[in-house]
Amino acid sequence: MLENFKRPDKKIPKKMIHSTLIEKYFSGSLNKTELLEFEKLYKNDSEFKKEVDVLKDIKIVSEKEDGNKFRNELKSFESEFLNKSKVSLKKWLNPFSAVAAIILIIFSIQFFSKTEINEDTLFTAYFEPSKNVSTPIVRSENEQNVTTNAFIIYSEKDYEEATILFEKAYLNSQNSQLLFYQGNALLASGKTKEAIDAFKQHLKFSDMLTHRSHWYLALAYMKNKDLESAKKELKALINSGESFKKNEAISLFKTLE
Amino acid sequence: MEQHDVEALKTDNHFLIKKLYNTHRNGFLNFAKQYNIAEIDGVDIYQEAFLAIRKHAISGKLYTVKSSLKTYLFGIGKHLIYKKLKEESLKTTMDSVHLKIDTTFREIPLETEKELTKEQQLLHYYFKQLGKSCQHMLTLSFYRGLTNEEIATLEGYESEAVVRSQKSRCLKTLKDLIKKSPKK
Repeated sequence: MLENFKRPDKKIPKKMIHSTLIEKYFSGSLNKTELLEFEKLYKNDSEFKKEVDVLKDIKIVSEKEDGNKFRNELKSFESEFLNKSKVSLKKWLNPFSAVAAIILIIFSIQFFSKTEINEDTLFTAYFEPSKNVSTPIVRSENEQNVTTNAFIIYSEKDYEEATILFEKAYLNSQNSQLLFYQGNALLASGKTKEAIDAFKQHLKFSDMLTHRSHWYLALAYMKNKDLESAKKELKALINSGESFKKNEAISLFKTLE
Repeated sequence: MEQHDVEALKTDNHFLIKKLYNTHRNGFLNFAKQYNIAEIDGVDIYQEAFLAIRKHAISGKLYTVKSSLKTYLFGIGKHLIYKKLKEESLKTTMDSVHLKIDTTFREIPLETEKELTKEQQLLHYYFKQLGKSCQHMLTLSFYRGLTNEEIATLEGYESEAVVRSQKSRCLKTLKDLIKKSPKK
């Protein structure tokens, strides 16, 4: 890579060299030579400077937005904290509730280890619809096929609509990967049983996303409170050699145990 | 500092961050009370301190910090409490109070956050119009400073090329939004 900057290969387009320099600049990984090259370009090439300045501003606003999102997350922690405190206070203030709580404690002792799991909370914590890792979306007026549309709608998080489009797209193309996204869209729109069917069908095929279906199928089973099947799927993912969500799978498996 | 806590903050581990938040919340509010900070303001300050410690985790600053997360968090909080008291013109009385009451947590000063310029405010407005995945992609690339390859691994993209193409699509969408914006 260093050589490229010392004696730029004429075959490598200038734009590509620039984008590599810019990428390295923002990741803080420019070496001395590259930094000099970067600074020279920034000083002498107005187009390059303009591009970098815009990206620097994007860095600032994305940091700001990231902070805003985190602030909202903290607010939700706070509300949850306060709600919990109120609920527990109310419970103990009400003598009937107190008696009920004592009875509940007595009964729950024998089930304690098994009933501690809250499937919905775990599901919310672990589930995030898969990103489109198969087909980069290129919006073009000429080429709006069902698959592209399905991915566009999916990326816009209209999961109900995406479900229908993925089903159509699968029927048209028989591309098994589409079952994976259909399952994700179903799971995201709360249709857990249908999602389970889609993932199970996808697991009959062998494509680059097959192992990933174990993860989402496990989450779907967990949502349906079928913990044994969920654990089975997690085990299948852990043993598959797939690095995707491996750590999460191990941690969730331990929690479910 | 506890590395797993730093990693949790850095990687947005919702579960662990919530746990950390809940663990130190009441302690911090009691700490703030020593400075006559009302609970409602204490919560705001606590959240600001949390935000700041996360920023420090992301920037890599916490890797060299020797103190515990709690000490550091309370140190930032202390700085924010002083700032608040100063703003309320209570600095003079505060000095006499704090010198007496607290020596446990060393104040951690924070850089003052710069206001966005007009252009940046406009960019921020359009940035928020982007889809969540684009916002996330640009945040990872420019704020977090991840390379395309790192993003591909982290987010499970098929290849670096897919990330590059998604990123360039997101940048184009953002630039188009700005271009289409009504001129003043």
